[in-house]
Formats: sequence, C-alpha cells, structure tokens
Amino acid sequence: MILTDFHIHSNFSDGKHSIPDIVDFYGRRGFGAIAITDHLCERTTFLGKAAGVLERTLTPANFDLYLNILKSEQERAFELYGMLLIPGFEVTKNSISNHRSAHIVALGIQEWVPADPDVAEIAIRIREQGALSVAAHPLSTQKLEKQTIHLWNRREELRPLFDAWEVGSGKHYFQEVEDEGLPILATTDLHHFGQMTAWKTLLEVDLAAGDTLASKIQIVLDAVRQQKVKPTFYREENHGVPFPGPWKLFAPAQSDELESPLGVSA
Amino acid sequence: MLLLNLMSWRALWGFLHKRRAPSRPHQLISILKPLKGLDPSLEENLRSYFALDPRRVELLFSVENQKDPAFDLIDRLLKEYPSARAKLLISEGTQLGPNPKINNLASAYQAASSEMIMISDSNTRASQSLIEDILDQLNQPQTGVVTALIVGTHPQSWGAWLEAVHLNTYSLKMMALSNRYARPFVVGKAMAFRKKQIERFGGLSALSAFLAEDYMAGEAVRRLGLQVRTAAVPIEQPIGRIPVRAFWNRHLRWGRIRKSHVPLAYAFEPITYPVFWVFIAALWGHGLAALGLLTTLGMLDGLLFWAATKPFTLRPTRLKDGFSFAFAWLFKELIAIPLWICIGAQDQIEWRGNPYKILPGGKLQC
Repeated sequence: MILTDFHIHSNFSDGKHSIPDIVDFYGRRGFGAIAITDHLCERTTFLGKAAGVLERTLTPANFDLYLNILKSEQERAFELYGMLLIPGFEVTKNSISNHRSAHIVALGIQEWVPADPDVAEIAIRIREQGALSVAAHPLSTQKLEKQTIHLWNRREELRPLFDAWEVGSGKHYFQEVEDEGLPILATTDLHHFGQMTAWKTLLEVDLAAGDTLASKIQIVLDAVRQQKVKPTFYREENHGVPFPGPWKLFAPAQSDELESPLGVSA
Repeated sequence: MLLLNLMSWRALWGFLHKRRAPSRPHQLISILKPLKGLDPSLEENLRSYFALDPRRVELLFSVENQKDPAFDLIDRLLKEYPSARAKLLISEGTQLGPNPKINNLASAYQAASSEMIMISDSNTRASQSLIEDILDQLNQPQTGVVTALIVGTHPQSWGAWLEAVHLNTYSLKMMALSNRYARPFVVGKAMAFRKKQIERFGGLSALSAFLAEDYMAGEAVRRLGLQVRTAAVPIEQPIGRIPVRAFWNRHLRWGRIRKSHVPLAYAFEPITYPVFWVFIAALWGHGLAALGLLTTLGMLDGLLFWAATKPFTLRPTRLKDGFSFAFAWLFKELIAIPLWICIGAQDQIEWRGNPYKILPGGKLQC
C-alpha cells in the first residue's frame, strides 16, 4: 500500500513551488507516488491566451523543459526517497460559464496534447499515449472559484473515456461521484504547501514487481485503472510549513472525525 | 520616471558594492568562447582572456570549421600564449537545434574539464576580478546561473555611440532593476553555471531551440527553484564602429525576442522610456516642464554613462564625448517609440545572415 497524490501544480503554471521542492516535500513525508500536473490551457480562447501571457500555463515553448525537469527529478525522487514521480498535466478549458469549463488531469504523459478540441477528443488523445485521463473536480467545490462541471453534465457519454473521476479534491468530497458508481481517485489539487491537509489516495500496489522506473510507474497507473484505490484524508499538522516539521498521516480508521466515506480503512 | 531612475541607481549600487566572499584558490572555470568571423576588436578582446590566470581559467574556443577567419587568429594567439590553458575546437556537423551559437558551443562544452562553465560572447573583454567574482557567486548556495551587467565602451561611430548610450543607460538600469526587484534575466555576454545544474533541465540541448538561450537558461533555473545572481563586476563590451542601421537591426532583433518571451513586459515598455513622459508632459501643455524633465533625465543618464564607463576608459572624458552622448541620447529617445512599434509589427528576424521566425515563447523557426 502506498500513499499517493496525483494532482499537484508547480511554478510551471499557477503553483508556488518548484518541482524539486515539491519532490523533497512529498518525499520526506513518505509518499510512494506523486504526479505533477500543471495547467495546459487552450491556445485560442481569451482566457487561455491570458493564461499564456500571465505565464500560468504550460506552452509548446516550455513543454520540453517541463518534461526534462520531470525526468531528472523522477530519477532523484526514486534514488533519494524511493518515491515515483509521474509526469502529467491538467488540460484546462476555462470559460465564463461553469457548464462549459472542464479540467482533465492526464497521468503518465509523454507528449503535448492540445486543449482546444472537445473533451472527448482530448481524453482519447491522452489515452492514446498510454496515459490516464482523470476528470478533475467534476462537481462544485462550493468555494468562490471557477467551477468545472462540463464533464459531469456529460458523464454518461464520457464514462468510457475516463479512467477515474476525482471523488476528493482538496478538502472537498464529492459524494455524487461515489453514488454514481464512477471509477474514483482522490487528490489534493495542491498549489502551495499550505493546502496539504486534503484528500489523497492509498493505492494497493506491489512496486517490487517492477524492475525499472518505467515499469513501476506502469504498475501504479494500472492500479488506478483497476481501481485498487482507497480515498484517505491526510492531515498536515504544521499546515504545510516546509521541512523539518512533524507530520502525521491519519488513516480513516484512526481518525474519529474523518472516516472514509467508502467505509474502507488503511 | 525619476523614481524608476532612483530605484535603478539603488539596485546598481547594491550589485557593484556587494560584499565578496573569500575565493577558493584551487577552483578552475572553463570559459567557452563561440566564434564566427572577425568581429571588430576581436583580437584585443581575446587577448584580455589570454591574460587571465591560467591556474584559474581554461579557455575553449570553438569555430564551425577551419575556413572561419577566426581560426587563424586563435591559432596564432595559442602560439603566442603557450602558458595559457587553452584549446581550439571545431564544431562542424554538430546539430543540437536551430540556434547556431549553441551548436558551435557543443564540442567546447563536452571538452570542458571544469564543472564550472562560463559562456562568453566574442565581443567582450574580461578581467580577473570578474572571473573571481563569478566563481564566488557560483559557490553560493542555490545558485543556478551567474550573469554580469554589461558596459559598452570605445564607441567610434554614431551607431556605436547609440549602442553605448543604450547599454550604459537604459539597458544597465533595466537589468539592475529587474535583477534586483523583479525577475532576473541572464545575458549571454557572461553566463556561468555548474554543469550538473544545467543538466537538470536538459543541458545545452534544451536551450538550442531558442535564439535567446541566455534568457531561457535563466528561466529554466528559476523553474528549478534556483537563483540567478549578478556579478559585482561588469563585463566590458568594446563597441568600435557600427553603422546606425546595424544598431536599429540589432535592437529590432532583441526587441522581437523580448516580445516573444515576455509579451506583457514588452506591451508596457514605453512607460520606461524617458521620451514617453516628456511627451505626456508636452501633451498636457506643460512645455517648460517637458523641457525640464528631458534635461533632468538626460543629465541623470549622462552621469550614469560616465560612472559606468569610467573604470574602463584610460583617457579622461573630453568635451566632445559629452556632445556625442547628448546627441546620441536625444536621437535614441526620438527613435524609441518608432522602434517599439516596428518590433510589434512582425515576428521575423535576421541573425548572421539567416532569416528566422520567432514563435510565442521564443522558439525559433528556420
């Protein structure tokens, strides 16, 4: 069983921290696998172009640099902490209408995927490169922020194209996703270390079965596909203040106030 | 505008009066010099590098092939300075990407025997104190890249005076301001790093897709959470003779590169031009205030020009130089807005005879 977080933003988009800092932060907390998933915005819409000008998105110009840094950090993360770093991005389609906004997390990517086509085509393109497509925060988080409910509105049509739907995002739990019987994943959607107290996923995998870094990552991705997942609330005692600092992982069975909504314990 | 001047002076003072850490005597730095053709004052510039302490400096010159006129010059200098730790390398056939300078550098980078690397353009002169300071900065924790402020010297034509005025006033102020208070940027005249740090983002190959490999190196280390540091000693760029047309073309190229990398900064650039505020004052009907502002800003820049070039100029400043400065400063201000408009009009550039298109984000398309 490993603790994972598959939705993290770095300073390549709107995250505060660099990829090496994120690796050290999670590595020192004993995580088994994480994914860096920076925003990849549309190139033709006003909001997408604004994100480009404000440097809040991956672009074709910095994408190779992003992959290079992920690759070198992947090796460092494994050597130093035995932690897997999965390359990803979050295809970001923002609109003034919540019903037209959709975010798709891609895990295990190798190539650029344009954000402008329809979400179904994007999910297909993500999966064509062997990556996972995950519907990010598909329901309202009840917070004063952009809501992305386009995928939820089309959930029946899109169900076969997505490997998982975020059931936990930050501190919010989407009961409807669980009730709908969709494949699930719980993540932090971390932008800074202060957001560390949030939903994560425990993954039932045997990493020793893989002999290379790539095969170990494949085992992790397959475990998500096969839904060997247990949403778990993680509490950061010192509110994400960088190391050194005390930390505790509260597995649902050990926590009185935060029992796993799925009724499973770590 | 006056506040901007005060802040930039404060930033410059901070860089040039930085406390130096004690240097480590056994450290070596490999200086990579990509060469193509015979630039004005090339021989004198290169001699300044041969004069550096060979116990501290390894010189690696690279030319594309033996037909390059710089080949014979380096060959001669190598014989003239047998004690220098120096090599000449041929880069023919190396193709990391569309940036010819990076392709030219590749073999020298491979041959470098030190972990500390400095890339320096051919049209610069270095001093031992600059090298010592760069080594000190590289030893600071969290250092990604070390760069240096540029001071233009020895202008010998009207185009060269324009370039010198630009380098020693506007460019100097903006670089100091940016590196002190905003996002630091790196200039290829002096760019130093540790090999292991740039290998973390893909090494030279990762930079070869961009014309502004220096800017991208700064960007990459910033993404890695490392710092861009500015040396306490400026690097000298002797300008010599260049036509006004060459000044215009060079800044058209640099401007378009800037626009592709940081479009927002380019959009607001005119508010940093003295002429913009003089124009605003005149437009409001305050002719006298406009004239006063023009004179004040010109004199402040004149003072900065004098202070910046003083350490590099052997002869005392003459009255003629003052007139040359004033004329060049006024002319540069007059063309600042038209140049800004021309930069915005297109994305095409020409560099060393080759046409390129710069894509958003700074990637080159041949």
